[in-house]
Amino acid sequence: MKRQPTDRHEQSRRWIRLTVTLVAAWLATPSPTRAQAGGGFPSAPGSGAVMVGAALEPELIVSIGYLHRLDAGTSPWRLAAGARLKIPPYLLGNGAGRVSVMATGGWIDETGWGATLSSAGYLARDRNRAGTMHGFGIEARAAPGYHGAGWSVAADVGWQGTLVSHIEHSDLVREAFRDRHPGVDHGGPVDGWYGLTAQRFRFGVMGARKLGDDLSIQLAAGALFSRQRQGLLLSFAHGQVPVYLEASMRAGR
Amino acid sequence: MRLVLAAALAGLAGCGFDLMSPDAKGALVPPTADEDPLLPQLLVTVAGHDRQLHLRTFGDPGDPVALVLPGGPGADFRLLLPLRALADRYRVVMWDPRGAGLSERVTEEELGLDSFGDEIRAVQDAVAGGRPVTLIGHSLGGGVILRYTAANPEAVEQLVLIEPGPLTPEGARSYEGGGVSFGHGQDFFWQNEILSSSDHETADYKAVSLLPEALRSFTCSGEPPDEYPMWRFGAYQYHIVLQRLCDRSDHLQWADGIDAFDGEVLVIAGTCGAASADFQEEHNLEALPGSELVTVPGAGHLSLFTSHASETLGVLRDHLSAYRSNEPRP
Repeated sequence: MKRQPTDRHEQSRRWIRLTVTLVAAWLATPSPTRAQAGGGFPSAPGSGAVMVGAALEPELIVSIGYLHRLDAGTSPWRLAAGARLKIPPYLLGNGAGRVSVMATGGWIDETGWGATLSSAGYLARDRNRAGTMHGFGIEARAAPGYHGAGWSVAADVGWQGTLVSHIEHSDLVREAFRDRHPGVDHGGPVDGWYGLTAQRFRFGVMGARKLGDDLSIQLAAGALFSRQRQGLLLSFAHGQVPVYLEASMRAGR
Repeated sequence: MRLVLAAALAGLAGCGFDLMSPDAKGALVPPTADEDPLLPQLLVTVAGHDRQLHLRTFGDPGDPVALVLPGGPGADFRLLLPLRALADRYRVVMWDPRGAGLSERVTEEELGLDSFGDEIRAVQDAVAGGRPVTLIGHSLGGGVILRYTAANPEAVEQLVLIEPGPLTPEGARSYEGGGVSFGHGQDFFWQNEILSSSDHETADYKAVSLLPEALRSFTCSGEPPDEYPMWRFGAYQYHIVLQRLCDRSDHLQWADGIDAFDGEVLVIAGTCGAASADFQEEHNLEALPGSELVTVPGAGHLSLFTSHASETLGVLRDHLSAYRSNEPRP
Protein backbone atom coordinates (compact mmCIF):
# COMPACT_ATOMS: atom_id res chain seq x y z
CA MET A 1 0.00 0.00 0.00
CA LYS A 2 1.31 3.47 -0.92
CA ARG A 3 1.99 5.82 1.95
CA GLN A 4 -0.26 8.86 1.66
CA PRO A 5 1.18 12.39 2.08
CA THR A 6 0.65 13.62 5.60
CA ASP A 7 0.17 17.25 4.62
CA ARG A 8 0.03 19.60 1.65
CA HIS A 9 3.66 20.66 2.06
CA GLU A 10 4.81 17.07 1.78
CA GLN A 11 2.65 16.66 -1.33
CA SER A 12 4.22 19.78 -2.88
CA ARG A 13 7.71 18.51 -2.12
CA ARG A 14 6.88 15.22 -3.83
CA TRP A 15 5.69 17.01 -6.98
CA ILE A 16 8.82 19.17 -7.04
CA ARG A 17 11.12 16.14 -6.65
CA LEU A 18 9.22 14.29 -9.40
CA THR A 19 9.44 17.25 -11.78
CA VAL A 20 13.16 17.75 -11.20
CA THR A 21 13.79 14.02 -11.65
CA LEU A 22 11.88 13.89 -14.93
CA VAL A 23 13.64 16.96 -16.35
CA ALA A 24 17.07 15.68 -15.31
CA ALA A 25 16.34 12.28 -16.85
CA TRP A 26 15.20 13.91 -20.08
CA LEU A 27 18.37 15.98 -20.27
CA ALA A 28 20.61 13.06 -19.44
CA THR A 29 19.14 10.69 -22.04
CA PRO A 30 21.71 10.18 -24.82
CA SER A 31 20.92 12.27 -27.86
CA PRO A 32 20.66 10.63 -31.31
CA THR A 33 23.20 13.10 -32.69
CA ARG A 34 26.77 14.03 -31.88
CA ALA A 35 26.36 17.66 -32.74
CA GLN A 36 26.44 20.07 -29.90
CA ALA A 37 23.31 21.78 -28.66
CA GLY A 38 25.47 24.86 -28.97
CA GLY A 39 23.92 27.24 -26.46
CA GLY A 40 21.07 28.25 -28.74
CA PHE A 41 23.22 29.06 -31.78
CA PRO A 42 22.56 27.59 -35.21
CA SER A 43 24.76 24.52 -35.38
CA ALA A 44 26.78 25.25 -38.49
CA PRO A 45 28.67 28.44 -39.31
CA GLY A 46 26.79 30.49 -41.87
CA SER A 47 23.52 28.70 -41.16
CA GLY A 48 20.30 30.04 -39.81
CA ALA A 49 17.61 28.81 -37.48
CA VAL A 50 13.98 29.65 -36.91
CA MET A 51 12.75 29.75 -33.34
CA VAL A 52 9.12 29.52 -32.24
CA GLY A 53 8.03 29.62 -28.67
CA ALA A 54 5.37 30.25 -26.08
CA ALA A 55 5.70 31.61 -22.60
CA LEU A 56 3.88 32.80 -19.51
CA GLU A 57 5.33 36.06 -18.18
CA PRO A 58 2.75 35.67 -16.53
CA GLU A 59 0.71 36.84 -19.50
CA LEU A 60 0.61 34.38 -22.35
CA ILE A 61 2.92 35.28 -25.23
CA VAL A 62 4.00 33.56 -28.42
CA SER A 63 7.08 34.39 -30.42
CA ILE A 64 8.84 33.66 -33.65
CA GLY A 65 12.39 34.61 -34.56
CA TYR A 66 15.37 33.95 -36.75
CA LEU A 67 19.07 33.74 -35.91
CA HIS A 68 21.88 33.61 -38.45
CA ARG A 69 25.30 32.45 -37.38
CA LEU A 70 28.06 34.86 -38.31
CA ASP A 71 31.25 33.32 -36.94
CA ALA A 72 33.48 30.91 -38.88
CA GLY A 73 33.30 28.13 -36.30
CA THR A 74 37.08 27.94 -35.97
CA SER A 75 37.23 29.08 -32.35
CA PRO A 76 35.18 28.75 -29.16
CA TRP A 77 33.69 32.20 -29.90
CA ARG A 78 30.22 32.23 -31.41
CA LEU A 79 28.24 35.08 -32.94
CA ALA A 80 24.78 35.26 -34.43
CA ALA A 81 22.29 37.97 -35.30
CA GLY A 82 18.60 38.00 -35.98
CA ALA A 83 15.17 39.28 -35.14
CA ARG A 84 12.17 38.23 -33.10
CA LEU A 85 8.48 39.04 -32.94
CA LYS A 86 6.63 38.60 -29.64
CA ILE A 87 2.84 38.77 -29.42
CA PRO A 88 0.29 38.34 -26.64
CA PRO A 89 -2.40 36.36 -28.50
CA TYR A 90 -5.24 37.62 -26.27
CA LEU A 91 -4.42 41.17 -27.23
CA LEU A 92 -4.24 41.03 -31.02
CA GLY A 93 -7.12 43.51 -31.17
CA ASN A 94 -5.03 46.03 -29.20
CA GLY A 95 -2.23 45.88 -31.74
CA ALA A 96 0.00 44.76 -28.88
CA GLY A 97 3.38 43.26 -29.65
CA ARG A 98 7.12 43.61 -29.57
CA VAL A 99 9.67 43.40 -32.34
CA SER A 100 13.36 43.00 -31.58
CA VAL A 101 16.64 42.92 -33.41
CA MET A 102 19.14 40.71 -31.68
CA ALA A 103 22.80 39.87 -31.49
CA THR A 104 23.96 36.79 -29.66
CA GLY A 105 27.54 36.01 -28.73
CA GLY A 106 29.15 33.34 -26.68
CA TRP A 107 32.21 31.43 -25.72
CA ILE A 108 31.93 27.67 -25.32
CA ASP A 109 35.07 25.56 -24.88
CA GLU A 110 35.70 21.99 -25.99
CA THR A 111 34.33 20.61 -22.74
CA GLY A 112 31.02 22.39 -23.29
CA TRP A 113 31.30 24.93 -20.52
CA GLY A 114 30.83 28.56 -21.38
CA ALA A 115 28.34 31.34 -21.58
CA THR A 116 26.17 33.05 -24.12
CA LEU A 117 24.95 36.62 -24.06
CA SER A 118 22.03 37.86 -26.09
CA SER A 119 21.30 41.52 -26.50
CA ALA A 120 18.37 43.09 -28.24
CA GLY A 121 16.86 46.41 -29.06
CA TYR A 122 13.09 46.42 -29.17
CA LEU A 123 9.97 48.37 -29.97
CA ALA A 124 6.88 47.40 -27.93
CA ARG A 125 3.33 48.59 -28.32
CA ASP A 126 0.08 48.47 -26.40
CA ARG A 127 -3.30 50.15 -26.62
CA ASN A 128 -5.91 49.93 -23.88
CA ARG A 129 -8.45 52.02 -21.95
CA ALA A 130 -5.67 54.21 -20.53
CA GLY A 131 -4.15 55.10 -23.86
CA THR A 132 -1.67 54.09 -26.55
CA MET A 133 1.95 53.37 -25.65
CA HIS A 134 5.05 52.75 -27.69
CA GLY A 135 8.28 51.87 -25.92
CA PHE A 136 11.85 51.57 -27.14
CA GLY A 137 14.16 49.51 -25.05
CA ILE A 138 17.09 47.17 -24.71
CA GLU A 139 17.43 43.72 -23.27
CA ALA A 140 20.37 41.57 -22.22
CA ARG A 141 20.13 37.91 -21.34
CA ALA A 142 23.00 35.64 -20.30
CA ALA A 143 23.19 31.86 -20.05
CA PRO A 144 26.32 30.70 -18.27
CA GLY A 145 26.48 26.94 -17.95
CA TYR A 146 27.05 23.75 -19.79
CA HIS A 147 26.31 23.74 -23.52
CA GLY A 148 27.38 20.27 -24.47
CA ALA A 149 26.83 17.41 -26.85
CA GLY A 150 23.12 17.19 -27.41
CA TRP A 151 22.00 19.12 -24.39
CA SER A 152 22.64 22.18 -22.30
CA VAL A 153 21.73 23.48 -18.91
CA ALA A 154 22.49 26.97 -17.79
CA ALA A 155 21.43 29.86 -15.65
CA ASP A 156 19.05 32.30 -17.31
CA VAL A 157 19.83 35.82 -16.14
CA GLY A 158 18.59 38.96 -17.77
CA TRP A 159 17.56 42.58 -17.63
CA GLN A 160 15.36 44.65 -19.89
CA GLY A 161 14.69 48.36 -19.76
CA THR A 162 12.27 50.43 -21.78
CA LEU A 163 14.33 53.57 -22.09
CA VAL A 164 11.91 55.82 -23.90
CA SER A 165 8.14 55.58 -24.28
CA HIS A 166 5.55 57.68 -25.97
CA ILE A 167 2.21 57.75 -24.20
CA GLU A 168 -0.95 59.21 -25.67
CA HIS A 169 -3.67 59.26 -23.03
CA SER A 170 -7.26 58.27 -23.58
CA ASP A 171 -10.35 60.35 -22.87
CA LEU A 172 -10.90 58.16 -19.81
CA VAL A 173 -7.61 59.31 -18.32
CA ARG A 174 -8.29 62.95 -19.23
CA GLU A 175 -11.68 62.70 -17.54
CA ALA A 176 -9.93 61.69 -14.30
CA PHE A 177 -8.39 65.15 -14.11
CA ARG A 178 -11.72 67.01 -14.28
CA ASP A 179 -13.87 68.27 -11.41
CA ARG A 180 -11.07 68.10 -8.87
CA HIS A 181 -11.20 71.73 -7.95
CA PRO A 182 -14.69 73.06 -7.28
CA GLY A 183 -15.68 75.36 -10.11
CA VAL A 184 -12.30 75.24 -11.82
CA ASP A 185 -10.76 72.81 -14.31
CA HIS A 186 -7.03 72.91 -14.81
CA GLY A 187 -4.25 70.51 -15.44
CA GLY A 188 -4.42 67.25 -17.26
CA PRO A 189 -2.36 64.21 -18.19
CA VAL A 190 0.67 64.89 -20.32
CA ASP A 191 0.95 63.22 -23.71
CA GLY A 192 4.52 62.81 -24.80
CA TRP A 193 7.82 61.11 -24.24
CA TYR A 194 8.71 59.50 -20.94
CA GLY A 195 12.08 58.11 -19.87
CA LEU A 196 12.85 54.72 -18.33
CA THR A 197 9.27 53.60 -17.96
CA ALA A 198 9.92 49.91 -17.35
CA GLN A 199 12.65 47.69 -15.97
CA ARG A 200 12.48 43.93 -15.47
CA PHE A 201 14.94 41.45 -14.03
CA ARG A 202 15.09 37.76 -14.85
CA PHE A 203 16.62 34.96 -12.76
CA GLY A 204 15.99 31.40 -13.79
CA VAL A 205 17.33 28.25 -15.32
CA MET A 206 17.14 26.90 -18.81
CA GLY A 207 17.66 23.52 -20.39
CA ALA A 208 17.89 22.56 -24.03
CA ARG A 209 18.09 19.28 -25.92
CA LYS A 210 18.72 18.42 -29.51
CA LEU A 211 16.17 16.14 -31.09
CA GLY A 212 18.14 15.68 -34.31
CA ASP A 213 20.55 17.62 -36.47
CA ASP A 214 17.94 20.25 -37.25
CA LEU A 215 15.73 20.45 -34.21
CA SER A 216 16.12 21.33 -30.58
CA ILE A 217 13.81 22.30 -27.80
CA GLN A 218 14.41 24.58 -24.83
CA LEU A 219 12.66 25.12 -21.53
CA ALA A 220 13.27 27.98 -19.15
CA ALA A 221 11.65 28.98 -15.89
CA GLY A 222 12.29 31.32 -13.04
CA ALA A 223 11.46 34.72 -11.58
CA LEU A 224 10.68 37.76 -13.70
CA PHE A 225 9.94 40.90 -11.74
CA SER A 226 9.77 44.64 -12.24
CA ARG A 227 11.60 47.19 -10.16
CA GLN A 228 9.12 48.42 -7.54
CA ARG A 229 9.92 51.14 -5.00
CA GLN A 230 7.42 49.96 -2.40
CA GLY A 231 9.33 46.66 -2.38
CA LEU A 232 6.40 44.56 -3.57
CA LEU A 233 7.56 41.32 -5.12
CA LEU A 234 4.09 39.78 -5.32
CA SER A 235 1.13 42.05 -5.98
CA PHE A 236 -1.51 41.48 -8.60
CA ALA A 237 -2.59 45.11 -8.25
CA HIS A 238 0.90 46.14 -9.39
CA GLY A 239 1.12 43.60 -12.20
CA GLN A 240 3.83 41.89 -10.19
CA VAL A 241 3.49 38.12 -10.38
CA PRO A 242 7.19 37.25 -10.59
CA VAL A 243 7.27 34.01 -12.53
CA TYR A 244 7.99 33.02 -16.09
CA LEU A 245 7.81 29.75 -17.93
CA GLU A 246 9.08 29.47 -21.47
CA ALA A 247 9.15 26.71 -24.08
CA SER A 248 10.67 27.09 -27.50
CA MET A 249 11.74 25.07 -30.48
CA ARG A 250 14.60 25.82 -32.85
CA ALA A 251 14.61 24.46 -36.37
CA GLY A 252 17.61 24.79 -38.63
CA ARG A 253 21.20 23.61 -38.97
CA MET B 1 24.12 49.82 -14.86
CA ARG B 2 22.95 53.27 -13.75
CA LEU B 3 25.81 54.94 -15.64
CA VAL B 4 24.81 53.12 -18.83
CA LEU B 5 21.18 54.12 -18.45
CA ALA B 6 22.05 57.67 -17.57
CA ALA B 7 24.32 57.91 -20.60
CA ALA B 8 21.64 56.49 -22.88
CA LEU B 9 19.00 58.86 -21.58
CA ALA B 10 21.38 61.81 -21.66
CA GLY B 11 22.14 60.98 -25.26
CA LEU B 12 18.47 60.98 -26.11
CA ALA B 13 17.98 64.25 -24.28
CA GLY B 14 20.85 65.69 -26.25
CA CYS B 15 19.07 64.76 -29.44
CA GLY B 16 16.23 67.07 -28.50
CA PHE B 17 13.93 64.65 -26.69
CA ASP B 18 12.23 66.27 -23.73
CA LEU B 19 11.78 63.22 -21.52
CA MET B 20 9.41 63.24 -18.58
CA SER B 21 9.67 60.89 -15.65
CA PRO B 22 6.69 58.54 -15.34
CA ASP B 23 6.73 59.43 -11.64
CA ALA B 24 6.37 63.16 -12.32
CA LYS B 25 3.48 64.57 -10.30
CA GLY B 26 0.40 65.15 -12.38
CA ALA B 27 1.77 63.65 -15.60
CA LEU B 28 -0.11 60.34 -15.57
CA VAL B 29 -2.57 60.75 -12.69
CA PRO B 30 -3.88 63.80 -10.79
CA PRO B 31 -1.67 64.96 -7.91
CA THR B 32 -2.69 64.15 -4.36
CA ALA B 33 -3.70 66.69 -1.72
CA ASP B 34 -0.18 66.99 -0.31
CA GLU B 35 1.08 67.72 -3.85
CA ASP B 36 -1.71 70.11 -4.86
CA PRO B 37 -2.56 72.79 -2.26
CA LEU B 38 -5.51 73.94 -4.38
CA LEU B 39 -7.41 70.74 -3.61
CA PRO B 40 -9.94 71.05 -0.76
CA GLN B 41 -8.31 69.13 2.06
CA LEU B 42 -8.11 68.48 5.78
CA LEU B 43 -5.01 67.66 7.81
CA VAL B 44 -5.57 64.74 10.19
CA THR B 45 -3.34 62.80 12.54
CA VAL B 46 -3.94 59.07 12.22
CA ALA B 47 -1.67 56.13 13.03
CA GLY B 48 0.95 58.51 14.34
CA HIS B 49 1.29 60.52 11.13
CA ASP B 50 -0.08 63.85 9.91
CA ARG B 51 -1.72 63.29 6.52
CA GLN B 52 -3.69 65.42 4.10
CA LEU B 53 -7.13 64.09 3.21
CA HIS B 54 -8.80 65.22 0.00
CA LEU B 55 -12.14 66.30 1.52
CA ARG B 56 -15.13 68.30 0.37
CA THR B 57 -18.08 69.67 2.29
CA PHE B 58 -21.51 70.69 1.07
CA GLY B 59 -24.31 72.49 2.86
CA ASP B 60 -24.77 74.61 5.93
CA PRO B 61 -22.24 74.05 8.74
CA GLY B 62 -25.08 74.38 11.23
CA ASP B 63 -27.04 71.46 9.79
CA PRO B 64 -26.76 67.84 11.00
CA VAL B 65 -23.58 66.27 9.69
CA ALA B 66 -23.53 63.30 7.28
CA LEU B 67 -20.15 61.66 6.68
CA VAL B 68 -19.93 59.69 3.41
CA LEU B 69 -17.35 56.96 2.89
CA PRO B 70 -16.49 55.39 -0.48
CA GLY B 71 -15.85 51.73 -1.17
CA GLY B 72 -12.57 50.12 -2.02
CA PRO B 73 -10.00 49.44 -1.08
CA GLY B 74 -8.35 52.08 -3.24
CA ALA B 75 -11.44 53.92 -4.48
CA ASP B 76 -12.29 57.61 -4.12
CA PHE B 77 -15.54 59.47 -3.47
CA ARG B 78 -16.08 60.85 -6.95
CA LEU B 79 -18.68 58.13 -7.64
CA LEU B 80 -20.65 59.27 -4.58
CA LEU B 81 -20.79 62.97 -5.49
CA PRO B 82 -24.54 62.78 -6.34
CA LEU B 83 -25.13 62.38 -2.60
CA ARG B 84 -24.13 66.03 -2.18
CA ALA B 85 -27.78 66.69 -3.02
CA LEU B 86 -28.47 65.80 0.62
CA ALA B 87 -26.95 69.18 1.46
CA ASP B 88 -30.47 70.55 1.43
CA ARG B 89 -30.84 69.10 4.97
CA TYR B 90 -27.32 67.97 5.94
CA ARG B 91 -23.80 69.19 6.13
CA VAL B 92 -22.45 66.52 3.77
CA VAL B 93 -18.77 65.64 4.13
CA MET B 94 -16.96 63.34 1.69
CA TRP B 95 -13.30 62.39 1.63
CA ASP B 96 -10.87 59.96 0.09
CA PRO B 97 -9.39 57.56 2.65
CA ARG B 98 -5.65 57.84 3.28
CA GLY B 99 -3.74 56.23 0.45
CA ALA B 100 -6.68 56.32 -1.94
CA GLY B 101 -8.08 58.82 -4.39
CA LEU B 102 -6.50 62.23 -4.08
CA SER B 103 -5.59 61.84 -0.42
CA GLU B 104 -1.97 61.60 0.59
CA ARG B 105 -0.15 58.31 -0.01
CA VAL B 106 0.84 56.57 3.22
CA THR B 107 3.07 53.76 4.42
CA GLU B 108 2.09 50.16 5.04
CA GLU B 109 2.22 50.54 8.82
CA GLU B 110 -0.46 53.26 8.67
CA LEU B 111 -3.00 51.06 6.92
CA GLY B 112 -4.20 48.83 9.73
CA LEU B 113 -7.93 48.09 9.59
CA ASP B 114 -8.54 49.98 12.84
CA SER B 115 -6.86 53.08 11.45
CA PHE B 116 -9.85 53.77 9.22
CA GLY B 117 -12.07 54.09 12.27
CA ASP B 118 -9.52 56.51 13.71
CA GLU B 119 -9.71 58.41 10.44
CA ILE B 120 -13.50 58.76 10.77
CA ARG B 121 -13.02 60.00 14.33
CA ALA B 122 -10.50 62.59 13.18
CA VAL B 123 -12.86 63.89 10.49
CA GLN B 124 -15.83 63.88 12.82
CA ASP B 125 -13.93 65.86 15.44
CA ALA B 126 -12.88 68.39 12.83
CA VAL B 127 -16.25 68.96 11.15
CA ALA B 128 -18.95 68.02 13.65
CA GLY B 129 -17.63 69.57 16.84
CA GLY B 130 -18.54 66.58 19.00
CA ARG B 131 -22.07 66.17 17.60
CA PRO B 132 -23.32 62.70 16.65
CA VAL B 133 -23.26 62.20 12.89
CA THR B 134 -25.07 60.21 10.26
CA LEU B 135 -22.73 57.77 8.56
CA ILE B 136 -23.28 56.69 4.94
CA GLY B 137 -20.92 54.04 3.60
CA HIS B 138 -20.74 52.33 0.21
CA SER B 139 -19.36 48.82 -0.30
CA LEU B 140 -16.28 48.37 1.91
CA GLY B 141 -17.11 51.77 3.39
CA GLY B 142 -20.23 50.16 4.82
CA GLY B 143 -18.16 47.69 6.79
CA VAL B 144 -15.84 50.42 8.01
CA ILE B 145 -18.64 52.63 9.35
CA LEU B 146 -20.28 49.59 10.94
CA ARG B 147 -17.10 48.79 12.82
CA TYR B 148 -16.73 52.42 13.86
CA THR B 149 -20.31 52.60 15.08
CA ALA B 150 -19.94 49.43 17.15
CA ALA B 151 -16.93 50.98 18.85
CA ASN B 152 -18.43 54.48 19.15
CA PRO B 153 -22.21 54.07 19.37
CA GLU B 154 -22.67 57.43 21.08
CA ALA B 155 -20.98 59.21 18.17
CA VAL B 156 -23.47 58.04 15.55
CA GLU B 157 -27.08 59.06 15.08
CA GLN B 158 -28.06 57.01 12.03
CA LEU B 159 -26.31 54.41 9.91
CA VAL B 160 -26.77 53.86 6.16
CA LEU B 161 -24.98 51.01 4.37
CA ILE B 162 -25.22 51.10 0.58
CA GLU B 163 -24.50 47.62 -0.80
CA PRO B 164 -21.96 46.76 1.85
CA GLY B 165 -19.53 44.00 1.02
CA PRO B 166 -19.57 40.75 2.98
CA LEU B 167 -19.85 41.43 6.70
CA THR B 168 -19.21 37.87 7.88
CA PRO B 169 -16.66 35.17 7.06
CA GLU B 170 -19.40 33.06 5.54
CA GLY B 171 -20.44 35.92 3.30
CA ALA B 172 -16.83 36.53 2.32
CA ARG B 173 -16.51 32.94 1.10
CA SER B 174 -19.62 33.35 -1.09
CA TYR B 175 -18.77 36.79 -2.40
CA GLU B 176 -18.04 36.99 -6.13
CA GLY B 177 -17.30 40.67 -6.53
CA GLY B 178 -14.26 42.24 -8.11
CA GLY B 179 -12.40 39.35 -9.71
CA VAL B 180 -10.55 39.51 -13.01
CA SER B 181 -10.36 36.55 -15.35
CA PHE B 182 -7.12 35.29 -16.88
CA GLY B 183 -8.06 36.66 -20.29
CA HIS B 184 -9.05 40.09 -19.01
CA GLY B 185 -5.85 40.38 -16.98
CA GLN B 186 -3.56 39.79 -19.95
CA ASP B 187 -3.12 43.42 -20.94
CA PHE B 188 -2.38 44.47 -17.38
CA PHE B 189 0.70 42.22 -17.35
CA TRP B 190 1.68 42.91 -20.97
CA GLN B 191 2.00 46.60 -20.06
CA ASN B 192 5.10 45.67 -18.01
CA GLU B 193 6.98 45.62 -21.33
CA ILE B 194 6.43 49.36 -21.62
CA LEU B 195 5.23 50.72 -18.28
CA SER B 196 5.83 48.91 -15.02
CA SER B 197 4.25 49.82 -11.68
CA SER B 198 7.48 51.14 -10.24
CA ASP B 199 5.91 53.70 -7.93
CA HIS B 200 2.55 55.13 -6.87
CA GLU B 201 1.96 57.17 -10.02
CA THR B 202 2.52 54.36 -12.50
CA ALA B 203 0.70 51.80 -10.36
CA ASP B 204 -2.35 54.05 -9.98
CA TYR B 205 -2.29 54.88 -13.70
CA LYS B 206 -2.24 51.26 -14.78
CA ALA B 207 -5.33 50.59 -12.66
CA VAL B 208 -7.31 52.70 -15.13
CA SER B 209 -7.05 49.96 -17.74
CA LEU B 210 -7.86 47.09 -15.37
CA LEU B 211 -10.63 48.45 -13.14
CA PRO B 212 -13.48 48.26 -15.65
CA GLU B 213 -12.79 44.55 -16.04
CA ALA B 214 -12.81 44.07 -12.26
CA LEU B 215 -16.17 45.83 -12.04
CA ARG B 216 -18.00 43.51 -14.43
CA SER B 217 -19.31 41.49 -11.51
CA PHE B 218 -21.07 44.55 -10.14
CA THR B 219 -23.05 45.53 -13.25
CA CYS B 220 -26.45 44.33 -14.40
CA SER B 221 -25.11 43.33 -17.81
CA GLY B 222 -21.94 41.56 -16.68
CA GLU B 223 -20.02 43.92 -18.97
CA PRO B 224 -17.62 46.65 -17.84
CA PRO B 225 -19.55 49.69 -16.54
CA ASP B 226 -20.37 52.44 -19.01
CA GLU B 227 -19.60 55.02 -16.41
CA TYR B 228 -17.26 54.91 -13.44
CA PRO B 229 -16.33 58.35 -12.17
CA MET B 230 -12.95 58.21 -10.46
CA TRP B 231 -10.05 60.59 -10.03
CA ARG B 232 -7.35 58.21 -8.96
CA PHE B 233 -7.18 54.62 -7.72
CA GLY B 234 -4.88 53.89 -4.78
CA ALA B 235 -3.16 50.70 -5.94
CA TYR B 236 -0.81 50.40 -2.98
CA GLN B 237 -3.57 51.01 -0.42
CA TYR B 238 -5.69 48.46 -2.26
CA HIS B 239 -2.91 45.87 -2.07
CA ILE B 240 -2.13 46.40 1.62
CA VAL B 241 -5.73 46.57 2.85
CA LEU B 242 -6.71 43.56 0.76
CA GLN B 243 -3.84 41.61 2.30
CA ARG B 244 -5.03 42.54 5.77
CA LEU B 245 -8.58 41.53 4.92
CA CYS B 246 -7.44 38.20 3.51
CA ASP B 247 -5.35 37.57 6.61
CA ARG B 248 -8.49 37.92 8.71
CA SER B 249 -11.10 36.54 6.34
CA ASP B 250 -11.74 33.48 8.45
CA HIS B 251 -12.81 35.45 11.51
CA LEU B 252 -13.48 39.10 10.63
CA GLN B 253 -17.00 40.04 11.77
CA TRP B 254 -17.56 43.65 10.74
CA ALA B 255 -20.76 43.88 12.76
CA ASP B 256 -19.32 42.62 16.05
CA GLY B 257 -20.64 44.77 18.87
CA ILE B 258 -23.23 46.61 16.76
CA ASP B 259 -25.81 45.68 19.37
CA ALA B 260 -24.45 48.60 21.37
CA PHE B 261 -25.92 50.98 18.78
CA ASP B 262 -29.61 51.64 19.26
CA GLY B 263 -30.08 53.95 16.27
CA GLU B 264 -31.57 53.14 12.88
CA VAL B 265 -29.65 51.01 10.41
CA LEU B 266 -30.69 51.27 6.77
CA VAL B 267 -29.32 49.00 4.03
CA ILE B 268 -29.82 50.11 0.43
CA ALA B 269 -29.15 47.70 -2.43
CA GLY B 270 -29.84 47.30 -6.09
CA THR B 271 -31.09 44.17 -7.78
CA CYS B 272 -28.03 43.38 -9.94
CA GLY B 273 -24.46 42.37 -9.32
CA ALA B 274 -22.39 40.72 -6.63
CA ALA B 275 -23.61 42.86 -3.72
CA SER B 276 -27.27 43.09 -4.69
CA ALA B 277 -30.29 42.84 -2.40
CA ASP B 278 -30.24 39.04 -2.74
CA PHE B 279 -26.71 38.92 -1.36
CA GLN B 280 -27.61 41.31 1.44
CA GLU B 281 -30.62 39.22 2.43
CA GLU B 282 -28.74 35.96 2.33
CA HIS B 283 -25.48 36.98 4.00
CA ASN B 284 -25.55 40.39 5.69
CA LEU B 285 -28.92 41.14 7.22
CA GLU B 286 -28.52 38.42 9.82
CA ALA B 287 -25.54 40.35 11.17
CA LEU B 288 -27.66 43.52 11.41
CA PRO B 289 -30.69 42.71 13.58
CA GLY B 290 -33.35 45.35 13.36
CA SER B 291 -32.01 46.85 10.12
CA GLU B 292 -34.22 47.74 7.18
CA LEU B 293 -33.37 46.75 3.59
CA VAL B 294 -34.66 48.96 0.78
CA THR B 295 -34.17 47.93 -2.84
CA VAL B 296 -33.56 50.12 -5.87
CA PRO B 297 -34.84 48.05 -8.82
CA GLY B 298 -32.57 47.73 -11.83
CA ALA B 299 -29.56 49.27 -10.11
CA GLY B 300 -26.10 47.81 -9.69
CA HIS B 301 -23.24 48.57 -7.35
CA LEU B 302 -22.14 51.60 -9.36
CA SER B 303 -25.33 52.63 -11.13
CA LEU B 304 -26.90 53.32 -7.73
CA PHE B 305 -24.96 56.59 -8.06
CA THR B 306 -25.06 57.14 -11.81
CA SER B 307 -28.10 56.15 -13.84
CA HIS B 308 -30.15 55.40 -10.69
CA ALA B 309 -28.84 58.24 -8.50
CA SER B 310 -32.23 59.94 -8.26
CA GLU B 311 -33.85 56.73 -6.95
CA THR B 312 -31.08 56.27 -4.41
CA LEU B 313 -31.50 59.85 -3.22
CA GLY B 314 -35.22 59.26 -2.98
CA VAL B 315 -34.67 56.30 -0.66
CA LEU B 316 -32.30 58.34 1.47
CA ARG B 317 -34.71 61.23 1.75
CA ASP B 318 -37.49 58.84 2.74
CA HIS B 319 -35.42 57.46 5.60
CA LEU B 320 -32.93 60.01 6.88
CA SER B 321 -34.06 61.65 10.08
CA ALA B 322 -33.44 65.24 8.98
CA TYR B 323 -36.04 64.84 6.27
CA ARG B 324 -38.71 63.82 8.74
CA SER B 325 -38.96 67.26 10.25
CA ASN B 326 -42.25 68.94 9.36
CA GLU B 327 -40.74 72.38 9.56
CA PRO B 328 -40.24 73.93 6.13
CA ARG B 329 -36.71 74.88 5.16
CA PRO B 330 -36.10 78.62 4.89
